[in-house]
Amino acid sequence: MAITFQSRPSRRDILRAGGAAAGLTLIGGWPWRNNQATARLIAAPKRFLQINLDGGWDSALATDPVVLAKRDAGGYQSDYAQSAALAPTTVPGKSKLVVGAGLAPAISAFASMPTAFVNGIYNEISAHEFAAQYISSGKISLTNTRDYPAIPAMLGSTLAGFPPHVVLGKAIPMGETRYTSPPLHAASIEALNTMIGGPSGSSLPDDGLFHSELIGDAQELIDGLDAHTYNQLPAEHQRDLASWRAGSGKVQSIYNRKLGGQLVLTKEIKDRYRITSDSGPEVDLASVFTLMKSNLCPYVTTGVLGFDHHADHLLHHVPLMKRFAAALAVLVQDLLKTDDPLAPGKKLAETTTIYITSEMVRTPKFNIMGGTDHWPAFAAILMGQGVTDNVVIGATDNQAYALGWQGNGPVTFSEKSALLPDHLIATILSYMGTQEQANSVSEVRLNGLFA
Amino acid sequence: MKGERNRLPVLFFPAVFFPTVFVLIGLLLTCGPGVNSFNPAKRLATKPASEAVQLTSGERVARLSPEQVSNTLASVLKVRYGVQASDTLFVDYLTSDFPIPLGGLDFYAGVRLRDPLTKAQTLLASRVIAWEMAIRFVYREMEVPQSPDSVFTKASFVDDHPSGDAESRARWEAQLQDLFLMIYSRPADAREVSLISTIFSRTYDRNKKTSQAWLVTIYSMLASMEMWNTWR
Repeated sequence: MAITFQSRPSRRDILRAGGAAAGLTLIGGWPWRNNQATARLIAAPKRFLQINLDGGWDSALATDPVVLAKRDAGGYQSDYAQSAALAPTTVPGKSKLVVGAGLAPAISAFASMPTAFVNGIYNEISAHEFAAQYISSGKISLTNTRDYPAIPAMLGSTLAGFPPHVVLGKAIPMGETRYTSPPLHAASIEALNTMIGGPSGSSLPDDGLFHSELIGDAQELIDGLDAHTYNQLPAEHQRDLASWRAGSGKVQSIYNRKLGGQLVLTKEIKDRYRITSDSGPEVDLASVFTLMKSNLCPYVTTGVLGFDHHADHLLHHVPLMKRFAAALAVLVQDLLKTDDPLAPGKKLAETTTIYITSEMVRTPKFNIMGGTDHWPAFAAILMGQGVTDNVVIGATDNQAYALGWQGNGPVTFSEKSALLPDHLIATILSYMGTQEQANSVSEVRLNGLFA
Repeated sequence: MKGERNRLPVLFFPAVFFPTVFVLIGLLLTCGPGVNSFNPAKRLATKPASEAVQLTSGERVARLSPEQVSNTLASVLKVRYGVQASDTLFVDYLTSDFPIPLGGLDFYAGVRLRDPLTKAQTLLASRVIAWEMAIRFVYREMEVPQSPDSVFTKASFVDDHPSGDAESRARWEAQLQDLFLMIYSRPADAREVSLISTIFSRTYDRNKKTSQAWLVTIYSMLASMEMWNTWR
């Protein structure tokens, strides 16, 4: 039974429609999704990878280095202009892409994939959670951080199958998930492995306790207990619990895909990404690659923690950014040489659009602890499928303030000329093929970001 | 003056009436029908019930919150899934590793409203937790000498099984009834005993290991619909 709501349904609507049917629908995705859009996406899936650098990255060490007039204007900490170790580099063959020292290890990645930088996007919100909601969804809510979903959550809602979207590590804004199908979220690739693989994906000591036949026995017992309980309940309770029963069948079909054993960081991957601890950008990006090549889902989000330093900026921030950039370089190499199981004959790099961002950037001057604080702007990197190569959109002035943007160049900042997260999110959603959702965020598109 | 005096009741009425109505509505909502559940979380939960089990008018079934599941299992089976990070801090994997699939709605930790609707990921997470809890439970019960936390008081974890003699089977069933009371707050009925007995025996006969059969039994009970949901 298909339930179609003409508009966003209330909880009462869903309950009125029947918990069972609504539950079944919710497992698949948003009940009010546009069926035509769904069909289009299924026919031509595009992969989307969002990497959130959690805490606010320093764009002056990344996509918006201190060059030209900025160098001498005095708006930035002198280290940016005077330290040889912080000198920016131009990406070979891409004259417009000048990267700060923090991204230097990723220059090979930018050289080998279509890459665009976005700078000077005005984001006046400096509280992490709300800023993250804004730059992920394009919408501001100062009252409730779950009001609006992030891009991949919106994309996932238009795609059938489970799961369309996986979030690894720090969770993202997902909208009101009472009414939506949230992404499958796991704190780590190991946690995801146990969820997708079921008990047989669990790591156990080799002491003879476990063997695979136990799983079949257990499944039979669970089904038997649930059926017995269910049959004793009144009809209205059965209706409410039907989603649990349906989910149980779904779980078994997921286990049957036998993906559990694939979602582990092998020694070879650990060596390639130079993983030496249990966490960090190397682990995060290695996990992303492991997930993407498993073909579990087309949309992936990961969060790289640790960018919110308010002390000893150069001591903490630069090394962390370099570690991330080095891992990004390995990830791009992997995507370039790995076949996309969804698109025969193509590599993952050809089918994936990568969106790297952080909820804010850092102050251009250091505080008394030698650290940096939150600054009302943000910057992003877009790479891969569909991205116009060698493009920089948006700019900051010599004092690091966001400039306005009109056509293809910077203009004086004003309310009308400001480049906003809404515009970037709507442009990305529009490119990904969900015009309706894009227009719900903004009708403005950033010219030239996508080819 | 006369006009002002006449207006007083008009001003007084909304100032008193509306707050009174709101307070009464609030009292009615909070003192509404309680949760008449089989589930032990009702009597054992040590933290305030989350939205997930506050059945409101019109709702009949709700899912337990991860905290309630965690507290219940810690109380009755004396197993926890997590790590003791310090003397006072226990990192609970139920809430740290699976917050979203279990209905934690948001990336912002301050928001604790939970999603009561069951989705596929809820089941995936509940199975992982059930498995990890069952593993810990079985290893604990296998300890020699017996752990002080052991809950096997009616039967031998190693020797008693339904395929044994009449006494062994009786002890096994008494233990099973005990586990049902601990996990579901009710005894098992004949159909459930029969179902579990059949599968327990089949698992046991394969390798002659009661630990494997109890692993299947405990895992299945913890992964069941009744474990994770409550109804009136």
